[in-house]
Amino acid sequence: MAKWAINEEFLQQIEALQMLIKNNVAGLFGGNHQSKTFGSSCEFSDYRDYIPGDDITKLDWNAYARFDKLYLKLYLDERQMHTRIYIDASRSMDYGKGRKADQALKLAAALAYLSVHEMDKVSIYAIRDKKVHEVITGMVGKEAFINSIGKLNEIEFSGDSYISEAILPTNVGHGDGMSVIISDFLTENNFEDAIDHLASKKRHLFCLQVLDREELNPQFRGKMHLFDSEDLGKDYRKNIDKEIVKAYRAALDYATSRIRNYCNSRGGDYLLASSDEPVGDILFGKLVEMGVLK
Amino acid sequence: MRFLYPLGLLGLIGIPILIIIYIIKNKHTEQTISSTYLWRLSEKFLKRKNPISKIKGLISLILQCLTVLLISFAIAHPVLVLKGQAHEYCFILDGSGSMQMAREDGTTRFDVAKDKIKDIISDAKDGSMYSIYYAGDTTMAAVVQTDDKSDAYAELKKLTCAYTPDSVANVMDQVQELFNENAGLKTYLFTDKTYDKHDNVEIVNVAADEVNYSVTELSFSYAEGKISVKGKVLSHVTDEILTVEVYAGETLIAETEVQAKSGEEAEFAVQELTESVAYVRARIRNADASAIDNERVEYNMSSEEAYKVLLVSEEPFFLMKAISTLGYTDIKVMSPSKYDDPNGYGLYIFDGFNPGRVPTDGAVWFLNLPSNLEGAGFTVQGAVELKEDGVLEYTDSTASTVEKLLADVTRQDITIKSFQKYSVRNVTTLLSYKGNPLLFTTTTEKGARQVVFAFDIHDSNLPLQLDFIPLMRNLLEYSFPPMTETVSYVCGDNLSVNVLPGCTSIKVESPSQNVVYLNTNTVAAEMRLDEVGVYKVTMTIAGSEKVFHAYSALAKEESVPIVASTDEYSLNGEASSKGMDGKYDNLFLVFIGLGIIFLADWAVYCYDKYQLR
Repeated sequence: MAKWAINEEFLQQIEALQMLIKNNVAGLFGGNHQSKTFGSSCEFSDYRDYIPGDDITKLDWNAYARFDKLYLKLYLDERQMHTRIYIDASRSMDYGKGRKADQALKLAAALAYLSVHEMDKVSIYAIRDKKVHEVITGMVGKEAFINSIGKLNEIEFSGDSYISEAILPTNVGHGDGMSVIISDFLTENNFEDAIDHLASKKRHLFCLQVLDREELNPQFRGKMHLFDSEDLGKDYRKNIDKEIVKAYRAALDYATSRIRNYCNSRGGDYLLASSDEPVGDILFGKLVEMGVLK
Repeated sequence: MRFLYPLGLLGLIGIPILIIIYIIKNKHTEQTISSTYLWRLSEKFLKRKNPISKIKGLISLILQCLTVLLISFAIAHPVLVLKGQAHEYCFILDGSGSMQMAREDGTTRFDVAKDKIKDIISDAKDGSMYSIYYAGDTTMAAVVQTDDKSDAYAELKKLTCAYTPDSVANVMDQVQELFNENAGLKTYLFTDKTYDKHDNVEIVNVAADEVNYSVTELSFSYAEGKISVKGKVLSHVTDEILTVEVYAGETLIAETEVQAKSGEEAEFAVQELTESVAYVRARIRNADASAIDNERVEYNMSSEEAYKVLLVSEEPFFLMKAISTLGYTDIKVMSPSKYDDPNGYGLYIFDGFNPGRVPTDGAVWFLNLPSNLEGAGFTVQGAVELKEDGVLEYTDSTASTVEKLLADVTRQDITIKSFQKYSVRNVTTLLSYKGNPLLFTTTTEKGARQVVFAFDIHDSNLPLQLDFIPLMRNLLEYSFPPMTETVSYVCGDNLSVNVLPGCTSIKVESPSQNVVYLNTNTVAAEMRLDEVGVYKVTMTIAGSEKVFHAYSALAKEESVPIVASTDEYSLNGEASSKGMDGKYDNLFLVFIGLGIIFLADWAVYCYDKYQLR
């Protein structure tokens, strides 16, 4: 079982960041994220004619002086969003030297912290086989975060993962925030339906693919007989030489491109991260660069 | 194909060992990884359509086995036998003086011949055999039946051209023996002459259209303060106007132009006022193929034989006149009372005087020696007075020495009134009286020539006789034997040096400054002259040195650029075209090269296969 490795010092560093949501959210409660509706924030949006009964403190007296007509200033509303984080809990995430599971948990915790810091609601789920297991639901505020985040350590990584079959039957919300899927996506199972479903629910989608260094840059040479940790029947027996490594890289490019392109075509974001890459570099570097964080 | 070192094939054991290791190690390493999805997906991206790819797994083993195979073969040193493709070669190299003629590019005929031999050896198949015979001033087998090309090259390189006529005839017997052993012998004669008959010998003529001139004769005389020089020059190929420089000693005294027709000697003559010189030199200024025969030096024989005479006598008149009449001008007369034991003279004459000590250098004459003298080689028994004139008796010996000493002597009666009785041993008696030798020649105890008159010539009729002069000449010639009979030689002749009494060494310095010491334990020492130019001969007699020079000229026939020789150089017997078994033994280099290539290929293959770049 992976150990939670995010310490207090790291949490203080990520407080400086703010989650940037591309689409305006439509939550019920006030928050730090701009809503599509007009409300009481400080950010000016538009004018409309005055209707008796409107709040006269929002009249634009300068416009009245110029046009001799009453106009009411409109401001954007701010709402709370609900961040849902799905962690692939299959066995392939927790095998070998790299321990992709560690990296997945760290990233999930970091993203959750950033959300609660923004006064957002956070739910974390584990996908194992064809089910979504709730790990943390409706977490709001840092106190709740501190009290609940330890549950991540209890996630069991075993079996296979069927992302689409698991997510589709569940309540994923509607237009109220971001959905994050953290997985190695090294599966022949369907995950595209899940992406389509989340996109149709107007959720902002973020696919985070975590791969081991050995998977990104394989060092196997010579005669090898490789077995799949999830299914020993899926083996690979070859004399690995330069040509095979070259083909492997082409396959890797193909697999990562397929996810990226699919995700981007649905308005979502995609990031490939290495299991041994420092989380700070991912958050402060790649995510800021992508515009997911600011 | 055969192997020089078959034990090297033991290395082939490495091949089965490699195969066993390959079989043992040919197992897949099992490992469980998180997902094989990407590996399985990579199958779609693998391009392996070439059927050769099926044996790719064996390439490493094949390369290793080939490396071991080739290196084992290389160590075993394989030799390829080429049936009948090699030959036995025999090269006869003319090393005569004419082969020194140079072409416009500076290479001599001899160099060209050596290059041609080298080319033939180079082109010959390995396994061929080579014999190289040099026929110059000496006959020499440089190499005989060697199959080592580098050895043949090295020996060929050492050969240098001589100045003498060739000695090809001397090597033909040896070549005939080789031909008798192997009728397939390919014999080449590299020369600059042409021969009409040369069965079984291929003549390779290295002569070209060289132009050559030579000074063929030179002589000079000196009279009345004038020197007269005569000589002949020859243009061998073309009609030319030759410019001849004439030197008296080292001084240029004249330049003359001579119209020389091709192949005909043309005379020149020069007469100039100058002091007497020891030698003259004539040189053709025109440039030609061989500079060595463009110059000739002639030495004055009498000048070379000049001697000093010391005459110690109270009455020197007769002796001095006779000696000076005979051409010996350097005579010093001394009274016995003033004699102080000097040295440096070629001849010491003591007339009625005992010097007390026999001189250490030069010949000695004792006339009427009154008392014993240690080292003289005879003892004085006392004076004998005759009551009436006695007539001396001439010896009747027919020995050549005696005949030479009495040459031109008419044997007139010589009368005396007294004589000294000497006890003698090993003498050549010319005159005697009643058994007593009164004129004889002998040597001192130190070996110097000695003439003894046992009577007083002033008290005899000898000086008044006609025979006095020829007798004195003969005795002087006996006392001053010439160091050499001539100072003009042709290269290849033997220099003959008369070993004079008391001679302790004879040093000969050649034109190329080589120094040779001749044997002095003989009457006449000889040395073959194998260089063209001036030889300096220094004879040491009792501590003093006598020097003469001899000039060795290039033989006339060696100055002729193209000679149609009438000599016949043929090998008797029926020639065969059958060759010997050749061999190609550089295969091991090919094997080593291939082995290294395969080894490098294997390394590159492994790096390429298992390393990413």
